[in-house]
Amino acid sequence: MISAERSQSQSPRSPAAAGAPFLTISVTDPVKMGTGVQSYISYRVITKTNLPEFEGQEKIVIRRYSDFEWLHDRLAEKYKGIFIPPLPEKNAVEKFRFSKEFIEMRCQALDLFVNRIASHPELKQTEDFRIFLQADEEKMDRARSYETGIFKKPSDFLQMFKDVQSKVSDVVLGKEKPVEESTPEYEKLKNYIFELENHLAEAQKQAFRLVKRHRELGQSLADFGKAIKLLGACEGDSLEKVFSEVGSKSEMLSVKLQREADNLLFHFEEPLKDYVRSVQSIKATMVDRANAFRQHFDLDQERKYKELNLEKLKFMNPEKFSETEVEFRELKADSEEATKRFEHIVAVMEEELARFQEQKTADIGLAFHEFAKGQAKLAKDIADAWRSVLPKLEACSTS
Amino acid sequence: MTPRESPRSNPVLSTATFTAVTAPTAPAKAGRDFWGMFKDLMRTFANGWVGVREEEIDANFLAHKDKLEDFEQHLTATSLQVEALLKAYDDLTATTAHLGIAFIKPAKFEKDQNTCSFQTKRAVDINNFANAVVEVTRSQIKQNAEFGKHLGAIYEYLETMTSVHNAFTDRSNALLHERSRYQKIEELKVTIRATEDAKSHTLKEYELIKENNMNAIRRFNKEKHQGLVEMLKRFVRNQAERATFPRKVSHSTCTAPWLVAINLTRPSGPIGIDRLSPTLCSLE
Repeated sequence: MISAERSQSQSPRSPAAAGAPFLTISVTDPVKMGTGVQSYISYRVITKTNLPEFEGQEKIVIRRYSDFEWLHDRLAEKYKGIFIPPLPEKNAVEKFRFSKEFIEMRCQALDLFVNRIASHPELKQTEDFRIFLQADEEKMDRARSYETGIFKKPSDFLQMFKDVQSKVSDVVLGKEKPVEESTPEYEKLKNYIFELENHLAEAQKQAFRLVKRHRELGQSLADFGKAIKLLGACEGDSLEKVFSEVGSKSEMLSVKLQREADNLLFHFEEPLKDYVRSVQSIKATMVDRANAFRQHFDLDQERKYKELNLEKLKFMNPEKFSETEVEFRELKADSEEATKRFEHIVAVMEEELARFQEQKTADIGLAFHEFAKGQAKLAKDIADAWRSVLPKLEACSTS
Repeated sequence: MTPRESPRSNPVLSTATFTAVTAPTAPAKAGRDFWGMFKDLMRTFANGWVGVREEEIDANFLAHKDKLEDFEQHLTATSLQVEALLKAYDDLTATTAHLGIAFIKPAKFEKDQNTCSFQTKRAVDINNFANAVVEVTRSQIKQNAEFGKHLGAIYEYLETMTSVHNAFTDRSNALLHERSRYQKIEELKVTIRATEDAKSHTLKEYELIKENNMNAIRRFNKEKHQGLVEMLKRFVRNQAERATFPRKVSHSTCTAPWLVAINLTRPSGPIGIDRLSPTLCSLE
C-alpha cells in the first residue's frame, strides 16, 4: 500500500496560526464488521486541518462505503457541472468482496476520492463534505437514511412537476423528440469523451492481463525451482549443491514476480481504471448538461409562445390579461433561471475540463513512471540473480 | 509387452525379443512434440527393463539402473517445467505486446485533439511509453526464441539415454569407445547385429560384458554430469541476458528502454495529489 504524501500537508509541529492553511485526509485501516450477509467493511477517516470551518485540528471518524456514496450523490445533485471525483465500483462478485486485494484497492480508491474533493476549490468548502469528515456515526447514519428514505424533499416534488410540465409543452408545441445542444465545439467534446473511454477501457484490460501473466510466470519459476532441486538431489555430490542454488534463485524470483504483479495492479492497472471512472463522471455531467439544456430550451420556447399570446390577449380580453400576465412573469422568471443554470453548467464545465486535462496528464505520467520503475527493477533483479549463479556453474563444469 | 516364456531358460530368445530402438529425433519445432517423445521413451524403458529383470544378478549394475530410472524421472519433470516456463514467457511477451498496441491508438488520438498543452504533453508521454513497451517486447521475443533453442540440449540427452538403454537391453558392449554421441548410436547398431549373429554366451564373455558395462556407466555418468552442467549454464545465461538490450542510452547496459521511459515520465512540478511512492528505486 502506498503511503501517499499530500502536497498541501505541513509538518504537524509547525504552529497552525503561522502556517499556510492545510487539509490532510487519509482513509485507512479497513476492518470487517458484522457477520454473514450483514457484514461490511468500515474505514477510518482521519482529518488533520487548521482551517477555521472545521471543528479542531484532528478528527477521526468511522465510515463505510455507503457513507462515501452518500457524499458523492449529494455533491453530484447540488453541484451540476463539476466532475465529481469517481467512487470505486459498488458491487463486487461475492467471493471477492472481502479478499485482501479488493479491500486494499478499494481503500486506496476511497482515499483518492476524498483527497480529490479536498483539493477541489469549490467542493472542499461544502457543508456535506464537512459533515462527512466530522459528523459522529449516529448523525451520519441519520443523514444517509434520510437521503435513501421514501420521504423526498419538497424540492424533489417541484422538480418532478417541472419535468411533467416540460413534457406537456413538448406535446402542446408539437415537439416529441428531445432537443439537443449541438455546437461544433460541444460535438467535438462529446466525441472525444466517448472515444477516450473506449481507448482507456482497452488499455486497462491489457494491463489487467499483464498482471495475470506476471503471476503465471512466477508460478512457473517456482515449479521449475522445485524440479531442478530434485534433479540435483537425485544426482548427488557437487551437482546437488549448485542445482539447489539454481532452484533457490528461481524460487526467489518467483516471489519477486508476484510482488511486481501486485505493484502493477495497484500502481498501473488501478490508475487506468480510475481514469475510466473519471471519464464516466464527465459523461454523467454531460447528462446533467443535456437536461439543463432541454429545460432551458423548452421554457424559452414556451415563454416566446406565451409572450405572443399575451400580446393578443391585451387587446382582446383585458380582464384575463392581468391574470395571464402574472403567470407569464412567473414563467419568464423560471425560463431565465433555467437558462442561467444551463449557462452555469457550461461555464463550470470549461474550468473542469482544464483541470481534468492537467490532472490526467500528471496521473497517467505517474502511472507510466511507476510501471517503468517496477519493470526495470524486476529485469535487473532477474539478471543479477542468474548472473550470480553462473560462476558456480562454471566452476562445476571444470571440476 | 512381456515375453511369454521365462527368459531364464533361453537367454538367446530374450535377446532376440527386444529389437534396437532408434533414437527419437528432436522435432522441428522445439518443445512441440516433447511430451509425445517422452512417452515413447518411457515405454521403451519399461519394456526394456522388464526383459533384463530376471537375468541380471549384478547388484552394481542394478543400482546404476535404478539411479538411471530416477534420473530419467526427474529429467522428465524438469523438462516439463522448462517447457511450462517457456510458455509462460511467451504468454507474458504476447500480453506485453498487446499492451503496447493498446497505447499507440490513444497516443495518436490525443495528439490529433490538440486542445491544450497538457493534452499535447500527455500524447507525447503515451507515445514514449508505447514505444518503450514495443521495444521491450521485440527483445523478449528474441530471448524466448533463444530459450526454445536451448531445449534442444535436452533432446540430445534423450538420444544418448536411449542408446545406452539399447546397450543394456542387449547386454553388449554399447559404449566401448570415446566418440561423439551420433557415432556411438551408429556403433550400437553394429554391435547389436554382431551379438545376434554370434548367439552364444559363455560366462567369461558375460563377465567381460559386465566389466565393459561398468566402464561405460562410469564414462556415461561423467558425460551426463558435464552435460547437465552445460545445459544449466546455457539456461542461466539465457535468463541473465533477458535484461540486456541493445544500447540506445550510452550510460546504461541494462534495462535501457525502461530507464529512458523513467526519465521521460518523471513527474515535474506540483501535482494536485502526490502519489509518489516514498521508496525510490535504487536504479535511479
